[in-house]
Amino acid sequence: MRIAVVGAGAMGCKFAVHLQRAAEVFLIEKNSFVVEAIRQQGGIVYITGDEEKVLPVAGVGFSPPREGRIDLALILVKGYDTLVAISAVGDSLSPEGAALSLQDGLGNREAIARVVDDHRALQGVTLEASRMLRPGRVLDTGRGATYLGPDPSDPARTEAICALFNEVGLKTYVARNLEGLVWDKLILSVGVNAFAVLFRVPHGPLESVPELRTLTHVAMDEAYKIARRKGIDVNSNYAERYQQLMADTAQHISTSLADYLSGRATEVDAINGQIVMEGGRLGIDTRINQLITDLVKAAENTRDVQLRLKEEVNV
Amino acid sequence: MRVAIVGAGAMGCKFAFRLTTYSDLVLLSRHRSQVEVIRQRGLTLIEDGHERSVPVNITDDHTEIQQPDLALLFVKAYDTQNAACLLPGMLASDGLVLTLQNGLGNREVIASVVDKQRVLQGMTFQAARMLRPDLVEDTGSRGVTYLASHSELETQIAEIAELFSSAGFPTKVIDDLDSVLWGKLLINVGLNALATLLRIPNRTFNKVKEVQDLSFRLMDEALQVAQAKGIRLPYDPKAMFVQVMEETGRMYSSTLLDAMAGKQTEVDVINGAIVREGERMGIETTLNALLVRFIKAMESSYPYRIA
Repeated sequence: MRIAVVGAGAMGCKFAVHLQRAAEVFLIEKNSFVVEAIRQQGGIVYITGDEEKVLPVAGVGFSPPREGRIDLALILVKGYDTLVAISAVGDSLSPEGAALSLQDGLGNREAIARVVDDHRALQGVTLEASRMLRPGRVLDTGRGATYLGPDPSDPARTEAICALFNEVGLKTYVARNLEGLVWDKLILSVGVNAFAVLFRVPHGPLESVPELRTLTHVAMDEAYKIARRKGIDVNSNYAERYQQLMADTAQHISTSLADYLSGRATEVDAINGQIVMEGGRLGIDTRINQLITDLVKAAENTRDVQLRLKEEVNV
Repeated sequence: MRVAIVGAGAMGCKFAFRLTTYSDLVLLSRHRSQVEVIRQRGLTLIEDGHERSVPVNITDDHTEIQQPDLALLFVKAYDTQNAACLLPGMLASDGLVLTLQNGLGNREVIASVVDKQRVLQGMTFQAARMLRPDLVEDTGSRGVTYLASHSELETQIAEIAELFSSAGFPTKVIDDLDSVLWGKLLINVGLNALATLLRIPNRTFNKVKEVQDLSFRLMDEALQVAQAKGIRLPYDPKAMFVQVMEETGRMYSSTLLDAMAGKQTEVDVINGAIVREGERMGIETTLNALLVRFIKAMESSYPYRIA
């Protein structure tokens, strides 16, 4: 199988290093300094525990090679880059090929379907975790299952993707209730990313500081109500799962906070912003999500003038 | 006049610096280290780039303060209760207390401890910021100070106004203090909580639309509360907000500086005051209430900040 992994971030690199074992993998990335770094070091530097390996891919660049078609485009860019990402690979897809989004948040599959036929835009959700240390240098920070949505138009294609993923060690299932799984993950993200950015704290305090906890939990309650109203089969135990996750990853810096501090955009629009939009349509109160979205967007637009901690604010 | 200034922060120090020449003044600090350094080196004020130092009588022992005619309160709002408790044992029998503190509700807190006939309320547009415990910068000296009139204390209030004015704080006695108090409060409602959460200087409020939108929404709620209370505002608050953010563009709000230093903010007497007054008047103040909750969450998470 010829696969284009679009987005050489933490997750893109993690999927690429696994998939290259059994497929021809092209890593597509828009930032030239990332492309250069991966070329120079001869592949992706992948760190698991104390083991560090350089794993080559078939190619890395701004777009797939002109010759030959792509059977699967795996979209792993940030939500705000989805359209650009699918535009870079859409024309290279083979007639039976598909684009699969494993991104966080909502609305990514729909963005993909604006460029390729709807039945070729697939959605999944992954609980794999990783962190980018430097461009092309990625640390495995946790294993979790990956779920693919059922695809009535071509069930064999999805089965083949599922089999390949499992073959390379990515535990993968075809899930009948994919939307529920997407929302299960989304509800947790609603309580993490934007709050980490605004309050500039790692995961732990989001649960352990009572005044912060009430905010993160009300935000998740708002999201859960929307999922239920939409008839989505979501788990009701998100509060306990959030508590456990924040305790287990207490020192972890949310990717949104890391992005924000490095001058990149956050995914607040695809996470809390989606809750606000759905709330508006359904007439459900989403005031905490509204405010945190407004504040994080304002924070993104004022980054250049913000005071920094420990900077001499008095002089 | 014997004057005791309670609270040796930026405003307490600035008033002490100027009043000490014109009155028998003592400054009460909570910090032994500040008392020592000011006793040694005097108190220094920077104004337009020029430094000047004066000796100021300072102590951290309130029992040393002898029967002042006027106690001027300049502690942060969350310390008002504690500071007020020192006053009854300290004041002369006909001594007065004056609060020029930020926000709303300080007078009521003081009046719960001191005979309310002796508690005066004022408001000042003077501004200052602390650079070191013995060094304060004058960041706004043209602003008028207002004292609320009081029919039974006319002479005493006139004397205070005269003292302030001669020391360099132009002061007016007015009947409708609520008007100017709420006028300033409205500006603070739009400014402080947002500046603190976003860490931005004042000029940004006019430059970034998302920020100004939030400010105006906060002010709209406060305006409704003010209208319900029958407050006559001295100016159009939003137009004034834009003007003040322009004039003070390079400055950072005091609550933001407090937050950066890991100190509690005064949001309780600013946006929090709007919430309390809104509840009393039956007016919804959703956004102000949320901002207060966000600030409380921020204060509690200071120790965990990574940037």
